[in-house]
Amino acid sequence: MTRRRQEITEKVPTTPRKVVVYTDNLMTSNSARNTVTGESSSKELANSLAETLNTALVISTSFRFDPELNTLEILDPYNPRNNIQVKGITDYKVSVKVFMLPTAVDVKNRPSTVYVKQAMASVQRQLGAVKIDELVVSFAEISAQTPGGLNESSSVSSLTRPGTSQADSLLDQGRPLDSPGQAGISTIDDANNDTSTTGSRTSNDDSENDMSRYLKVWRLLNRFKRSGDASKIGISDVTKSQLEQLCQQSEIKPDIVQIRLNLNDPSDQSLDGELRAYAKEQGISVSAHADEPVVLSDRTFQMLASDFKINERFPTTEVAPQGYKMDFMRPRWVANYTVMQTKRGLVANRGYIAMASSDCVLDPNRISPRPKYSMFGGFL
Amino acid sequence: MTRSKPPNMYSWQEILPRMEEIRSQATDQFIAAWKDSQSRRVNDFSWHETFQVMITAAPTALTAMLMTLLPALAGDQPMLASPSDGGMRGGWLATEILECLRARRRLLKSRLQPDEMLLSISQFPLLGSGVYIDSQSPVNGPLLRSLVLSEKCLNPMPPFTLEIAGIVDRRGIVPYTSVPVFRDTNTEWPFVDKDLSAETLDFGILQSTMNGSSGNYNSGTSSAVHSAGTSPGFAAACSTNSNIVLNYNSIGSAPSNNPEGRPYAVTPSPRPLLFEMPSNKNCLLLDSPLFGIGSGGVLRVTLCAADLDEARTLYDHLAPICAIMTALTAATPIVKGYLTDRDCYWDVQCSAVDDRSAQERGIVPLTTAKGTLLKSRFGSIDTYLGPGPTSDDMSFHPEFNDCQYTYDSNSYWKMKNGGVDHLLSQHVARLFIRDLHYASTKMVGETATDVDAKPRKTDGQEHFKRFLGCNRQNVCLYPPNTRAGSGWEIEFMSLEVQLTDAENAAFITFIVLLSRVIISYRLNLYLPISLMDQNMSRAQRINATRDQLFFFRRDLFSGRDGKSSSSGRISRRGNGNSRHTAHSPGSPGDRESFHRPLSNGSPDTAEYVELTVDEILNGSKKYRVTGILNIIMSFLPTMRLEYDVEQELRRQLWLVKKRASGRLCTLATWMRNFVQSHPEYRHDSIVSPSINYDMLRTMSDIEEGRVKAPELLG
Repeated sequence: MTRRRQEITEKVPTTPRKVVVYTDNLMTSNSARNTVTGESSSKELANSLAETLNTALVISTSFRFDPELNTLEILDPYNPRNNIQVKGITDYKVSVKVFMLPTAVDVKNRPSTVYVKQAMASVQRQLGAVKIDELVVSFAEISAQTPGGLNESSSVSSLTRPGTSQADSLLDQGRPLDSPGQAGISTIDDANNDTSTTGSRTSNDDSENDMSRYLKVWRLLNRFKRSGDASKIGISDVTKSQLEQLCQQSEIKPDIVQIRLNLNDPSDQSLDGELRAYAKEQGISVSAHADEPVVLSDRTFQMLASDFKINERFPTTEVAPQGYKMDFMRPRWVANYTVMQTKRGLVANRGYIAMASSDCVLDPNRISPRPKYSMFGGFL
Repeated sequence: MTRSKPPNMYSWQEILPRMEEIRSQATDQFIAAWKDSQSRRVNDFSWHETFQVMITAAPTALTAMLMTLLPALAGDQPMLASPSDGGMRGGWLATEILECLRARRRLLKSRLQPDEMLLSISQFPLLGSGVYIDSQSPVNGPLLRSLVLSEKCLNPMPPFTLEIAGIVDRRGIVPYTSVPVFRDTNTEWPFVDKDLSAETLDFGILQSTMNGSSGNYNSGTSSAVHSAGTSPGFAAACSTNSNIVLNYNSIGSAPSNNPEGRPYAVTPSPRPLLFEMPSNKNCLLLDSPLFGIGSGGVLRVTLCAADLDEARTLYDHLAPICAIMTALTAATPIVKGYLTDRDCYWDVQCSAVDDRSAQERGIVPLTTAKGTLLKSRFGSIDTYLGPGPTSDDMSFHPEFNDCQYTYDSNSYWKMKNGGVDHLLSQHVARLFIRDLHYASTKMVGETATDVDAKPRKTDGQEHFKRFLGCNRQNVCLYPPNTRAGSGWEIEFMSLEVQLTDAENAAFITFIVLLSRVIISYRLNLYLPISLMDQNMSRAQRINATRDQLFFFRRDLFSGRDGKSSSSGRISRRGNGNSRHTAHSPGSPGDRESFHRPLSNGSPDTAEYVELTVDEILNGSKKYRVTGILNIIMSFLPTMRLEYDVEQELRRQLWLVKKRASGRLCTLATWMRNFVQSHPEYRHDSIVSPSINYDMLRTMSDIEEGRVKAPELLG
């Protein structure tokens, strides 16, 4: 695969520091022991990342550092591709889900296509040139709104949050860790509680706003479908009105809609009855998932990064311009791939790829804040 | 012999002289099937289930409930079995299973008489006690020779009668089974079975031995099992010796060094073992194979593997879970009208169909038999198959096969020379040590005409399949069916049938998903056979799900890649009350010479720990056990299933989860509670016909949804 210099960020014209972590095949016994908890997928992801970092950086050395691209790739040295021993069976199905984390946005604060392209390239690098049968994208902002996504689902079940303030608050959770309790899921809780009390716009406007933010990424997915890289595309955790908006605005109908299972009560059938009816009518298949809205929070990643001393071991090669500083590395996207033999009900390979990068941000300690960026002042 | 026999069938005695021929052909057939399967792969996973129910009726008196045999119901269905429609299920998902079970039940129900009920229970509670069957005839008939069962219970189909007769003939006596009685406050103690006593049975041995050994088939082949032709005096002398200290240390699983020189290889045994001396104190006695086969409900799941290696994996790793599932599905607390000290039917079933001759049981010295056989032909497995010779699976260690077993040496060497590896040929040769109980003239006719037998020998698999049918273990391995195009199959036998379709579907789903998880995650569930047998006997105790501890591998993820070493250590817990449990059908009891020291401490590093069913399935932080259900639950989302499908699967697993955690009780507990809280119950362990009537009626109502049973179904 040709390695092309990519424009990584649209915020500040420098190549930011980028770390990509490829986990081990989670179906192999060693990884499975530490990752299968029967609990949440974010825990599984955190465990598997820690496992990989430990194997790749502590036990052995298994990474590639490209100073030109300022990219560090950490991969598990074992990583057997296939865990199933029967020879002669080749009908595998590859399913990829790309989680667009709250920070995977461009200058206009919209989910950026760059990150989806990166994710696809990384999946191809990990699995080889495979055809992806299912490509599902999950936007953290949308997923966070679904009932059951948060701890107390009742309070947030019906309201749709205003898009911009939601995104801002989610961005805000990635602020430096000086303020405890401001990172991770708890922040989203706060944000949601805040917005649900303050949000007064009608939901129709919101979803319109919401879905137009995602159109760029959605069209990119459709390009993947047209070019044959993916056979089916899908989106995760949308409501019925969001799905309608998406179809209308982009004129691209998803093949799959993923909705979250209520893990605590399998008899709960109330979830999105109208969505399922609509999907059935449109010929969209509804599949289930059990992932949290934010699979990898900033806090989790930064704890991992500091535990394994990623910043110290691989100091960044760039210098921030005057008045800016290099921000903490924040996870941007997570790709979860599964290679399975559907006809036999087996999973051969499964893993995560997580990418984090740092941006140049305004230095809060700078002497004279320029008025242009005063919007940040409110948060700092 | 007064028994009527169809002309196209041979009874056991008639085929006995040819048994070696048949065995040899069966071996050939197996080798052929094995060779044939080498190149074949099955691309799709499929599975099916066997579901058997029973029909009860309350014909006249409203306070009695009787068993009904199916011929009264429908002529076209041969037995109580209703085979799954259309053979193997395509697709691996178990979602349609519930609807399928319901449809089948509806079909059967539609043919019922108005006063009949369809119940999926593993045994009629009053079978053998008082009036239990429609138009009951006197006991001790010529076919069954049972003192408690009426001839009417016997399905008159020829293969079945021949099977029953074969068991009795081969054993030399009706096999008898003892079931410990539950001691309630008013139970007569010591308890004495009023229908049978051990003495009548013991003399029965000698009586029927003297009558039965007519001697005309002794000369057939040297291997003909000579029915124990010994004097009564010897048997008496033998039984006085019953307190010999058994020395198990020298027993190994390796084949003897020069088995080619010996007619039959027996794993070295210091002396004939007197393993079967059931204590008949305070026990119910049953005296017919019908208590084991052909009269109750069953639930089995057959899984089709892609190739032999996968089949061996499933066989080995599903076997240790059998005991857990038995405990979880316990449904038979009442036998012959008494509350028993067991919740399950497994042991009764195994020992009721026990066809071992006196020599094989070790009661008389070995003269013609091939060796002592420790287990009945129905029972838990003797050996693991291990991974195939080309597999890179490192989890198997020979020490797991730590029990004694006997196998047929001729077949073993024939298979070994035919290219089959050691463990598999030993497994099959071990099955071939048993005799067929009947054969059709067609099959034996082939053997008689040696001329044209040659080309047709490797054609079918009839003999081989018959031998497999003779052995029923907690997991069974079946070779590919060349005609149907199926692959190697594993049958999971140790589930007890549940009352409602929803429960049965849930347990089927669990087994199917477990098999997927075992292959996907390459789980390692190996447990030494001796510990597995102990688990099996614990599983049948009253309320085993809640009260008993089971040996289980602590870390299911270790060992398959060979990276982690196995310490072999067993961590026990508690005061050891559950430790010494006699496992009645011929298990050699506690032997852990390979797995010492038995330390009490540090369960963290032990290879095996004692866990409750809840901890095994739902996990335990304290013992660092992941929990099988947790593994399955985290496997499900990775399959990217349809929403409805996954929801349905989770709902089914939810039931298993709640059963395991004790929030829902087993059917056995429910029945026991029902009896004990019944106003007519006098706390003497006796389940009277009227209690039985009320109970079965309520169960039928629960099944049809007219009565809610939240403690059972949630």
